[in-house]
Amino acid sequence: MTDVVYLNVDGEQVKARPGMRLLDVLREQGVDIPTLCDHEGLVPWGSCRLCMVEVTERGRNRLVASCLYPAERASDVYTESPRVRAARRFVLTLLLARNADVQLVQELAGRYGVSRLERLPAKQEKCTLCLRCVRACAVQGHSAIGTAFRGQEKKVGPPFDEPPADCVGCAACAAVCPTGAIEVIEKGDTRTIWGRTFELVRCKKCGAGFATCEQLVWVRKELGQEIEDKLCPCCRQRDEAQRMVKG
Amino acid sequence: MATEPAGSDLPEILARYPRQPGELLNVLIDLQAHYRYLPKKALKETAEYLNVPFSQVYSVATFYKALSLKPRGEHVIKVCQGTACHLRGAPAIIEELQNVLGIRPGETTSDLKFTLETVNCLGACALAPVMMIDDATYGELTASKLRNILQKV
Repeated sequence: MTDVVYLNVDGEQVKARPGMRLLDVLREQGVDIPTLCDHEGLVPWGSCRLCMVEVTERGRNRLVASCLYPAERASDVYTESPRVRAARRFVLTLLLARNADVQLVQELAGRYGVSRLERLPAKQEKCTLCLRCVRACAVQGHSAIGTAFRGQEKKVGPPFDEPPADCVGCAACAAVCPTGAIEVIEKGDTRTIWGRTFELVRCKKCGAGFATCEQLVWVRKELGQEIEDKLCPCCRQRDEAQRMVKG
Repeated sequence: MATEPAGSDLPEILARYPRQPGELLNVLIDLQAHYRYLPKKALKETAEYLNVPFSQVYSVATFYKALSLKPRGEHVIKVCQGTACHLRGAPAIIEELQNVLGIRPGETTSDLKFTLETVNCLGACALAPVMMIDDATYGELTASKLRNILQKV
């Protein structure tokens, strides 16, 4: 296999490493590709269909999701062709109907000149079903939340909409959500998420509530060792640095 | 056929399958046939047995129409709503079934005898309007034929 692939991106020659995701190649070139479901810490998913680009390869032309498409051989890539814009506009029309109040969706719709289609029933959903939260929960090793039902009824949440037994309250799901659809309430010494309330552990130094008890139990189990001093990531870094300076 | 929540027969059902995540759907279909629905407890134990996250078991259990979280009737009635059946009077058939059974599509009678469902095509358009009760097909239906059929079930 060659160690370089030449792509023609919107008329400009671009070098890429074989197997690299087309989306990453394009972003390195400074091409602004809209995405909802893509996240650097998560497995590529291809569910939002916003990163579609047109690829002509070996005489065959088609639309592909650039987040799932590996650069493997010489090809022409069009990132803002009429066909690409039409595909993105279609997706944004549906998103705008489902997520009418979501700022990110409104911004993208504005950028592509998409306005509300009256015949689609307007919904005020916050969730776009990009499934970043589900993947984040899985990669953390919990898989406490997942999808339920399908089609119009499809939604994300814990099984039976009950406080999930497998959740440790890390709130990684909320952290990766592009639309702020997952509610996390922190009040005093507690954090409530997915209908379950967790006790927060406070940093010995600064007093910030930085993790839940369940989260630390999980980390201890994963590391197979005790966590000696309970410091928040910030104070821990400072502590380590000071020890290095002294040492 | 038992409808009580997962009891002692659950381990026996699970034991028919190797403990592999890929067996999930096979187990769920088997549980559905046995209990006529998927009890929560059975789903939890299935997750544990196959080493699949409970959230994923729930995801699959709610995805397929053949699986149900609520108890279904002893007999499942599927009335075709395809174009041919619709034109030849399916709406009247559904209305008559609703009147006789006292339930709407998607519901189950309180004695757990019948579940009423609508489907989009049974592939027997020449027999329109058509319905299925369990594995038997009934065609060229009329309201008067319906009562006869139901009484025989």
